[in-house]
Amino acid sequence: MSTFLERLFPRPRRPFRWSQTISLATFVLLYVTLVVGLELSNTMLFVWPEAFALMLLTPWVWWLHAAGGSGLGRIRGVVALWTRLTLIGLFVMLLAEPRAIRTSDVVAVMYTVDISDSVGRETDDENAQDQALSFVANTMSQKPEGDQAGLVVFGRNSAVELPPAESTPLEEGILLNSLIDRDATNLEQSLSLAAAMLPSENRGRIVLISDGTETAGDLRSILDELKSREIAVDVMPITYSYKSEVWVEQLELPRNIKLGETYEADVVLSSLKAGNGKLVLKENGRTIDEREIEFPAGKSRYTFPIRLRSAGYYEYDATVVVDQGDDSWKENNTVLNFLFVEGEGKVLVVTDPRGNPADHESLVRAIRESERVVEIRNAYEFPRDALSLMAYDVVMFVNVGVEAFDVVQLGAVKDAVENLGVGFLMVGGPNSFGPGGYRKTVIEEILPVEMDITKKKVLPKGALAIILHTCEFPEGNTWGKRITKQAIKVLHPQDEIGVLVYGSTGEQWLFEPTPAREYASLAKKINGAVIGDMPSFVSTMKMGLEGLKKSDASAKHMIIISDGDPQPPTPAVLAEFSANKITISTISIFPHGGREVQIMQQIASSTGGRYYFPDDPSLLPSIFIKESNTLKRTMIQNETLQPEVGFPSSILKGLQSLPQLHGYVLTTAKPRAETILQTPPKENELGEGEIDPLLAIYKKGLGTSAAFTSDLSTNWGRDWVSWDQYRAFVQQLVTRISRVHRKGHLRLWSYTEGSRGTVVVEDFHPDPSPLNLIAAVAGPHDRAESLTLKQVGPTRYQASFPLWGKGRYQVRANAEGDGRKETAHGGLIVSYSPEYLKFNSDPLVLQTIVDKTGGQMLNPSTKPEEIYNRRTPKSSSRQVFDWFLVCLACLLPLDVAVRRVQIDPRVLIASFRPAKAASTQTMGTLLQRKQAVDSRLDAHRDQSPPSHSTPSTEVPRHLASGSTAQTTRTSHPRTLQPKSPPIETTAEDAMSTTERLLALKRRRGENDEPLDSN
Amino acid sequence: MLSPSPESSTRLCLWLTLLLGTGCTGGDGLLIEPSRITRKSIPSAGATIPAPRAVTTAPDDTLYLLDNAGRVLVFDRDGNPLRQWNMPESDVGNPEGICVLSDGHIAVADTHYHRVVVFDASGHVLRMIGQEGQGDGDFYWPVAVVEDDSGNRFVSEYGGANRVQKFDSDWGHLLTFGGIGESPGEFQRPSGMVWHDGRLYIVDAFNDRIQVFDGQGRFLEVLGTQDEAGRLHYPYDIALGPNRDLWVIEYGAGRISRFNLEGDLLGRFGSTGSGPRQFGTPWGLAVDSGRRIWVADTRNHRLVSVDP
Repeated sequence: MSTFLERLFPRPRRPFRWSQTISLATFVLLYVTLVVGLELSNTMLFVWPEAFALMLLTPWVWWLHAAGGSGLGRIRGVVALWTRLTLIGLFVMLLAEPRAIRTSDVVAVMYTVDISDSVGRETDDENAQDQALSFVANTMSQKPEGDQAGLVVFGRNSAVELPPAESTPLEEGILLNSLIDRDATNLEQSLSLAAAMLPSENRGRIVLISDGTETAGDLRSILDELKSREIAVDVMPITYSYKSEVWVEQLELPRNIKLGETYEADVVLSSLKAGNGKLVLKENGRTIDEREIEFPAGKSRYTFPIRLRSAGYYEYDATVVVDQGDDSWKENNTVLNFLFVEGEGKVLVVTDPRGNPADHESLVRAIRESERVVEIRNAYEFPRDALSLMAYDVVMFVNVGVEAFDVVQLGAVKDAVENLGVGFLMVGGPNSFGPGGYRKTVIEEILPVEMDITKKKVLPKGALAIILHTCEFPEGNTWGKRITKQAIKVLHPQDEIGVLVYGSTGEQWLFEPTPAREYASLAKKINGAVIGDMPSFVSTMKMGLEGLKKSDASAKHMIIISDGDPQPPTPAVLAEFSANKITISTISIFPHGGREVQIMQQIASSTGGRYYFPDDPSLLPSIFIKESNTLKRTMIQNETLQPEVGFPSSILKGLQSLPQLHGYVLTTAKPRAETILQTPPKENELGEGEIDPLLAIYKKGLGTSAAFTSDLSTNWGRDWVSWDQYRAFVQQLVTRISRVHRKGHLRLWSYTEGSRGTVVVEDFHPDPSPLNLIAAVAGPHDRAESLTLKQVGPTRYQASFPLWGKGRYQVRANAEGDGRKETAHGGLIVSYSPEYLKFNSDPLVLQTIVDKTGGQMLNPSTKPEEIYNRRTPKSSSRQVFDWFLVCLACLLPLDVAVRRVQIDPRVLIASFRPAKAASTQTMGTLLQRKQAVDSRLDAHRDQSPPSHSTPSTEVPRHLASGSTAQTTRTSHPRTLQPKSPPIETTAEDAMSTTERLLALKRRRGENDEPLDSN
Repeated sequence: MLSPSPESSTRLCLWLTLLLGTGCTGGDGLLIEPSRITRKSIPSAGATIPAPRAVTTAPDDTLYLLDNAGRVLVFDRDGNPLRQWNMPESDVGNPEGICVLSDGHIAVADTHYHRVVVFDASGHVLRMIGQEGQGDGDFYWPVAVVEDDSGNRFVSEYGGANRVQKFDSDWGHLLTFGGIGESPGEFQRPSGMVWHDGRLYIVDAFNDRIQVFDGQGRFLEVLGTQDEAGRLHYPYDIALGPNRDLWVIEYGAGRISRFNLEGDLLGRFGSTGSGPRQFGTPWGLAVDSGRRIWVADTRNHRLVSVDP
């Protein structure tokens, strides 16, 4: 043990002096002062202060120095000691996890504004939402310089309109940019989002403007978090309390009906006080009954007779009409419900609202002659929910482009096909399939063909450049992004598209002309684009011109969408477009006046493009799709061909000698599709025979869908229309894809009860057996739930679920058991948001928020200072690990250098002195010196005995540090200077270095001298 | 545990830079280092905080400002709001140029109504000059107004004619010059003007230059050498400082540039962005008698003052 301690703390090689402790004491004092000072001055904090215990090592390091183990001179020794102590000190500080403390006096305020339905309505000629926003704008505009403000709006969900920043561009219509579901109030999510947006280094505050009627989320969970983060919530309450309110609670319809019999529809009405009014019942939008009523306070029930004469889907709505003074909200005065009477299915033919009737006349006639009921609707009248499509066996899109529909309508078709088993047929024409813009839509998903034909066709390429200047109308940039993405979808995948905007760095390509096949990456860029106010068309158009010139496309086109007020292009620029055969189409959207219109017209006319002046942004998609189509007419094959039979099918049963077709749209059959009719093989560039589908069919979900890529009208199909077997073909085609009616024993109905929906299934099987029933519920906001129904009676199964907002819910129940497998369909409608059943604001909730978070109540006359001037600087810390690492990295080589590198000042000085003689003289001197040494060595060898003498025990102890020490100590002649020149001194000089070291080791062993630790 | 973050790399670079004792600022010696900068929003209008567009100062340093809510706002020399009024109409578009005339009236280039509206200091409309058209005295998007020493007024237009018209003190048409193009004497949005010592300095925004004309509309020169160092990027407005230096605001570059009357670049400040020393597509600029520069920092919706 004592040996170990002696080795750890070796005996001093030179006399120890107490004055040597001064260095250690000074260092420790300074170190402690520094660390404590950093902590006390709030400059830095150490997360793991226990690490400072490692500083107990410093006395040991100091002792090694004091014991003279390093063998350094006094000054260098002190420098080396301090360097090492500093190194250790820094390393220990690093282990203690230092964090720099920053104190900020900036106040960041997130305004959190409730825009749910209960707040956004008109009350007493004042809109609470507008009032709230005026308050936000007023206080935001007067916030102190340097403070930050941001804006979150919320309903069911929340969105950041403005992140916290010093500059606050609160512009008109800003709330329209957020896709907020307004049918609920989720205070928890909104406060959570607002808190997350507050910069941690600044004093954060939330200003909540709400009525406090929480209908979603759990507020309590967020309040504790806000308190722990010291985020105070100031609240400006929106208060209301309604004394007069009438609402329709329910419209009850019979569950099982037979055609021709009379049934009752019951309307349940509620009112806060007695009154009178009119109750109106409509069936599929047509008034079938109305009556004057006097209603008491509370609930009352009114019965209407209804009589159904034919099968189909019937939607009823019951509305109560009362004087304005007797009612506060109109939104809850109507309730919808529906009945579906199964019978012979109809065929729904969907046409282009601006299309040619000849496109569908022949087809409709043929279907009617097949004794099927046909309903013709244009795309604008097409239902927006799958439930409405239950009445149809087949839905046909006849030469109608995607731009005529909205996303919801298309989604309903997909839903009806996949889940309700409705058949779907797309009949071709210039506005169908790819040219109709269906690429990458849900319709393409259900069709047996896809629009991407790159694998099979090498078509002339087109290039399109779009200039987006859409920031000057409400939701303009949202529109701009949407229509640009739609335009890309319309393009052929090999076509090139580029988009130009005025972004944060001025005029720029959002992306240069890029093949449309890279839709996914382009869409990301479009979504993230910052589109600013373009001051001039000139530079942007020049950039577009250069980009298009570089493209090797055969057709080049530019689309400009703008209000028209940027600086117009010079005639020279327009002439260059014409010279390069690049057409420009322009779209004026919300121009300021006549001059802008003229400019836009002039650009289009001078380059051979088209000019559009839509009065509604909703027309933009169709314009963009039409314009994009100018590049890709090549997808339409205007050629006469003889169809060939592919996959055998019942559709062609009994048909002979198919007539010729005079055109079709290029598509590619999907792998699972049955291609029943196809084009004759055509040799492509690779010498392969290419076949295009003309009629393809496949099963999609519960339904069957088909694609006829030519038309069935007097255009491409003129020989078919006059064909004597045309009707038979159409009849067999419709029969093949029609919904299959299976006689089931299950009946499903569903209803709402408060905020919950209930699904009930009754089994009417003559020999009922227990079933496993699972219901899939698809509702608003693209949300779906799966429910397991429990048996609640011998033949009855039931389940309930929480409703998630206003809208239509579809229910499909799948039953299995005892060898049976059946499906039943149904649905329910939530007619208005639960927000409209809140007749009082909830100040208690708001007060709780204030109390729990330490905020304050505000009112519309609150001064901005009351929000912003409650400020106490906030400290935050950040890791400064890397700074310490850099310091350590610098000190380490210094530590080594101090101990190991010797710089002889005489050499340094000599190197700066001028040379005393010419170089040849120096060389001569050196040569002379070499000769002298050589002759002396020769003489020495002659005098020495052939073997080495015994090493002397008189070797100075300083040699223990080896040859290095010998060379580094030349500046200390007192201890290092040999008594005679090295060449002539001891026998050791003749030894090799290894021999000398071995000898030294032996001597050490004899002397039992402690080893040098350094 | 130690992933090399960009921040730490930057710090390391800084350390090395310090250790090596070298700098890498790349400063060209023309940077203006302001002694004071203030930034503030303009008063709200309903539920919005509008963006300032044009700004000018009266001889008493009162500040007049136009915003995109169709308002004329008046501030004292410290930027405190004094009063405001609305343009007669603003549904179609908002005005873009303002000038305090020698008689104390305020002339506003009501751009999208193709006219000049003259107010008294309280905001009462005194008269409206011009209508849409390309004839003498008509306007297409008038964007700037300036007055010479004799009380004559110059009005510049962009959009169609890209020209400047000169009127007498009673708004009688005197002459017209300019036209769209890139040649000397032609314009692409002549959007700001200054009259000094018989010379009319016009910022020619999309030709990225300042052109000089005499009182008769004769082209004199393109100011400066047009070399890379002094290049402008969409100069939108120009003002004369008390030291007879020209201050230019650049919409494209988001900066203030200072020139002498010979066109030599004397200094610059700012860049595009929303930071404290940045501007976002600034439209207007004014310099008061104390050499304080006021900038309509349009995209950032704030009024900025810079004391160079």
